[in-house]
Amino acid sequence: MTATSFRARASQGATAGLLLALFLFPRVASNYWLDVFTSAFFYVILALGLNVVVGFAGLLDLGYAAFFAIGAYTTGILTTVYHVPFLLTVPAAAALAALSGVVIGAPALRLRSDYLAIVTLGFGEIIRITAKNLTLTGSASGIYGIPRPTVFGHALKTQQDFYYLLLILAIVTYLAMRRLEHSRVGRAWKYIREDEDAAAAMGIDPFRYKLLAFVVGAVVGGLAGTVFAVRMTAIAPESFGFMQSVLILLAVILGGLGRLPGVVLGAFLIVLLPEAMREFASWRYFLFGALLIAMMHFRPEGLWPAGRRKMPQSGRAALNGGDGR
Amino acid sequence: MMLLEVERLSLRFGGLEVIRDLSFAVPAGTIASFIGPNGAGKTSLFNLITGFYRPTAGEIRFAGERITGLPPSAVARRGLARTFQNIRLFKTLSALENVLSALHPRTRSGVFAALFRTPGMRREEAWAREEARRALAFVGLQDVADRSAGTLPYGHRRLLEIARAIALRPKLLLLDEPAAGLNPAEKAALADLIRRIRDELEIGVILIEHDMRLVANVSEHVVALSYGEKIAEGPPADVLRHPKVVEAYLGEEAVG
Ligand SMILES: Nc1ncnc2c1ncn2[C@@H]1O[C@H](COP(=O)(O)OP(=O)(O)O)[C@@H](O)[C@H]1O
Ligand SMILES: [Mg+2]
Repeated sequence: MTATSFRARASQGATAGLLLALFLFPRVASNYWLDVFTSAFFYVILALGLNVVVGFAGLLDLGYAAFFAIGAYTTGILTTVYHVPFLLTVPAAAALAALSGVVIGAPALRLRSDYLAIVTLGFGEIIRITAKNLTLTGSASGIYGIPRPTVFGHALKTQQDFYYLLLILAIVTYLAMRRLEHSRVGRAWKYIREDEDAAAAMGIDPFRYKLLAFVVGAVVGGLAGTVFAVRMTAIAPESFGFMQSVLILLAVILGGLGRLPGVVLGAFLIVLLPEAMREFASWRYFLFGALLIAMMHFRPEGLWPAGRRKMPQSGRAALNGGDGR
Repeated sequence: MMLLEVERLSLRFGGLEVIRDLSFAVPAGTIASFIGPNGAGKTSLFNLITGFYRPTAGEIRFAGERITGLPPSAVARRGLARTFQNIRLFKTLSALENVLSALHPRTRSGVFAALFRTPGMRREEAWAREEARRALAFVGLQDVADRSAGTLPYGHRRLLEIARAIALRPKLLLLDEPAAGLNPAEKAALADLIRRIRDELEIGVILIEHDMRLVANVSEHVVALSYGEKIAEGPPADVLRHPKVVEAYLGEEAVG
C-alpha cells in the first residue's frame, strides 16, 4: 500500500468512526450535551455556508447572520401568522435569502471587494434593527409559539429528534459543499480567489461568480435559519446580531479557510470552547478575539493541517511590467 | 481579412500619455511582434486590447467586431487569449487545474449539475480534463499535470501559461515577453512552439519581445513603439533596420 492510499484509508476510517460515535452519542449523553452538540451542528452548517463566500471565493462577509435571520423569520412568520406547514416555508425562506443575497451582493460586488465587508456589516445591522422594530416580526420580543414541525409524517419534538435532524442536515451540507468545491463552479471560485485578472483572461466573469458564491452562502444561511426557528420555537432579534456573524466567521477562519474538515473543526471549537471554560463566560468574546489575533499571527492558514490557503485579500497585482513593477 | 484592427487608440493616466493615437492592423493567421524599449507602452497595449484598460480614445476591432470597452472575460470569450509579463498562474492549483480554467467558456455545468452529479456534468468534466491534457501535451508538460503550478521551474511556468491560453481555443494569442528569462535552448523550443501554435492550431500570435533574433526568426509582421507612438511597422527585416527603431534602442542602451 502506498503512503497516500494509507493516509486516505486512515482518514476514511477516522471519519466513519466519528460519524458512528455521533450517531450513538444520544444513547449516552445527557440532554444538556445533546443541546450543545445540536448547536454545534447548526454552526457547522452556517460555517460551511459562509465558507463558500469567504473560503471558496475569498470575499469578506461581516453580516452573514442576516441571512440566518431572514430564514428564521420567514419560517416564524409563515407558520405562526399564516399557518403555512413548515416544509412549505423552506423554499420560501431559501428564495427570500437568495433574493436578498442578489440585492445586497450585486451593487457591492461591482465595486472593489473590500466594499462587500462594509455593505454586509451594514446589512446585518439593518436586518436586526428592522426585525426589532416591525410589528410583523414581533419587535424586540420576537416571534414565539412557532409550531414543532412534521417532516414526512414524523413529528419532531424531543431534543433527540432535533439532534438527529441537525446531524443529518450537517452531513448533507458537508457532502453538498464537497461536490461544489470539486466542480466547474467551485474551480471558478478558486481561480478568482487566486488571481482575479488571470481568471477573467480565461473568460470567467469574476462578478458573476462572486455573486453566485454570495447567493449560495445566503441560501445555506437561510435554510439553517428555518430549522433554527422550529427548533427554538421562539426567535428574537438578538440572536442575529453582529456577534453572531463574527462567531460564524471565526469558525471559518479558525479551522482553515476553504478546507471543509477545518471549517467543521472550527464550528465545533466555537461551541465547545466556551463550554470548556464556563467560569470565564463573561470573558468569552475577549478570549475569542485574542485567539483570532493569535491565529492570524501564528497560523493564518487555520488549524487544519497542510494545504496552504491565503486570507481573503483585496487589491490587484500590477497588470503591467514584470516582477510587480 | 484583418483579425485585429486598432484605430487612433489613446491611453492616458493623468498627465502621462501611455499610448498616443496608435493605429495598426494584423491579418488573420499571422505571427506578429510588438517591439520597443521598456516603458514604450507594449504591455499597456495588450491590456487595452484584452479589456483590462479602457482607452481614452479610439477603437479596437476583433474579427470585424468592435470590442472597445468590453470587460476582459467577454474579450476572452470572443477568442482573444493572453499571457502576462510577470506570469499569472493559479499557484496553489495543479498544472491541470490551471489549464482547466480555460475550458470554462466551453462548458456549462452549474450549481445544480454539481450537487446532483448529473451524467451530463460528469461527461462534460471528463471531456474538459481530456482537452486540458491535450493542451498540456501540446507544450510538452503532460508529465507535470498534477504538480502544483507554483512549484514548477520557471521555464515550465512560462509554458504552462501558454498551455492555459491555447486551451481557450482563441483566434489570437497575445504573449507578453514569453522568452524573458529563458536560456538559448528554451528560446529555440519556444520559437518552434509559436510556429506550431499558428500552423497546427491555426491561432494567430502577437508577441512582445526584446530578443531581436527571436523576433526576426518567428514574426512576419512587426510594430515598433516608442513613448506610446508607432515609429515603424512592416516586415521584420525592414523594421529592425529602421533608423527610428535603431535610435530608440540605442537611446535605451545609453541610459542603461
Ligand atoms: N495602470 C497604470 N497606471 C499608471 N501608469 C501606468 C499604468 N500602466 C502602465 N503605466 C505606465 O505606462 C508606461 C508604459 O508601460 P508599459 O505598457 O508597461 O510598457 P512596456 O510594456 O512597453 O515596457 C510606463 O510609463 C508605465 O509606468
Ligand atoms: Mg511590458
